[in-house]
Amino acid sequence: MKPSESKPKILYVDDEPHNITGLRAILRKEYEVIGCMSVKEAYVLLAEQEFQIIVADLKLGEDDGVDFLDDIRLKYPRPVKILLTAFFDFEAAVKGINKAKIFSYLFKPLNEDEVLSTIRIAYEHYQNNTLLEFRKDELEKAHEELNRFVYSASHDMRAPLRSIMGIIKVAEMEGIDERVQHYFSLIERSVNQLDAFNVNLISYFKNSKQETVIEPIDFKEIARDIFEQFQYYPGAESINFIINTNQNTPWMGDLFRIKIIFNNLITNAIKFQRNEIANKHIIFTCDTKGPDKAVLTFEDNGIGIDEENQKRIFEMFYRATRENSGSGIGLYIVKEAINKIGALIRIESKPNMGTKFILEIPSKLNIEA
Amino acid sequence: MKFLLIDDSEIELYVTSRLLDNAGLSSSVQTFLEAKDALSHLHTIKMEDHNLPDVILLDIHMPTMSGFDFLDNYIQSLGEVLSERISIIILSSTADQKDFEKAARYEVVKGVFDKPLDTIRLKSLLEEINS
Repeated sequence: MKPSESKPKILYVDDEPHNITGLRAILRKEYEVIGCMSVKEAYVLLAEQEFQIIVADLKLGEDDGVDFLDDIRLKYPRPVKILLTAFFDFEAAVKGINKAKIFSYLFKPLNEDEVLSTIRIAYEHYQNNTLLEFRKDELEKAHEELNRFVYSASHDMRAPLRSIMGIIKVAEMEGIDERVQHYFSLIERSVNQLDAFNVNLISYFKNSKQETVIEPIDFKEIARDIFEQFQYYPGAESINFIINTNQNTPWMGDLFRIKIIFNNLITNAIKFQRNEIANKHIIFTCDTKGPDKAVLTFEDNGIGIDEENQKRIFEMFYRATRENSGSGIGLYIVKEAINKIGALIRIESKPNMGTKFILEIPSKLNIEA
Repeated sequence: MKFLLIDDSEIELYVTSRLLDNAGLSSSVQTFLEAKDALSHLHTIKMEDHNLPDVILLDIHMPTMSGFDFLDNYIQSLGEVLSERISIIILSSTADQKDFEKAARYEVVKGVFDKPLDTIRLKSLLEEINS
């Protein structure tokens, strides 16, 4: 909501009519004072119009000004509340500040300068709060738009990238001299890298946006699908994929995010193989420990990660090696997805031996989606 | 085998035609930049068996008539005559897995492919369909 430009409105509740006349006289130049003599009337006025400041007398016949201000606090949080009192009542002051969140006090008989300055400060406070709220809304909107922009830009970038891949493929098929062939393979590698980064960006934004949907999960099937999907990936043809699961209880979870995690861990295992060895393998195991927890492992005998780098691999844009194409966003996305589903991940790895990621995922069997 | 390609990008049409040709998969390739033109072409030739394509490669995201619109129209107006005769295969660079999932739910869709076309995979899929 935009800060109001018109005369600020003050609701004034006091059971003595001459006080209302008095306050109105002091404030009439800058403020519109709407007076009423009972709490009951005040509720009606509050429901009808919007006030920036509410001034209530402490003694309102049978009613109590502090109780009234406390009572309307949740329903009308934005108006600034001021309590008016004839003498300093310590108990009322404590209750007013702690409970009713009163901004300021005014004392009777009303002193013109004091009233003017108190109301002015109260109104400034109101304006600052409103402005803050307004800016917060604006910021949230800008953030949302930025997200959407990155998301749709990555989407739109994919088509031309795939198109370049197609042209390279045609050129390679139709035979070109060796040197040009080499250039084309370099272009191909860069385009693949850009495309993978793009796809990752998209899944990052999806992960942050997408609501959690709880579905039945078959870990074996997910792993098999992803292995199948990547069997044509460069270098994947010489890797032995092994799946070893004993999921015998039905299992519920956030399929979308679980797939993100699988996808990234499995592509990494494919990418970071040691080219020189013959028996390359990736082993996926799954053990559902009863109905509420699954322990999954993704193990390869690839290049491994040294201890120093193990601590940093989940950081955004961190790359532990120069050796492979990548932007360093994959494991960051894994971490984000893991946080969202309340899972735990740890890593066991030795350089030139291999890497094992161990994942513990809680089941959402009993939680409403 | 006769192919009919529908894609709003000329580059894509060219690339896919060349890939099919180089892989020795196609005896003829007909291309359409607009799905609705392809649809009316199919209407014209629906009774001429020798002119019908064996395979339609269909893009998803296209202006005016999208791949999904094409499928809906095709099934409604031509499905009875052609669904057994022609294999429709989706060829798209969509970054949204849901597009592929949605496309795969159409009975007339025999396969979904990411661009650029993997002709080896296509070949084995077509062998499977025709066996």
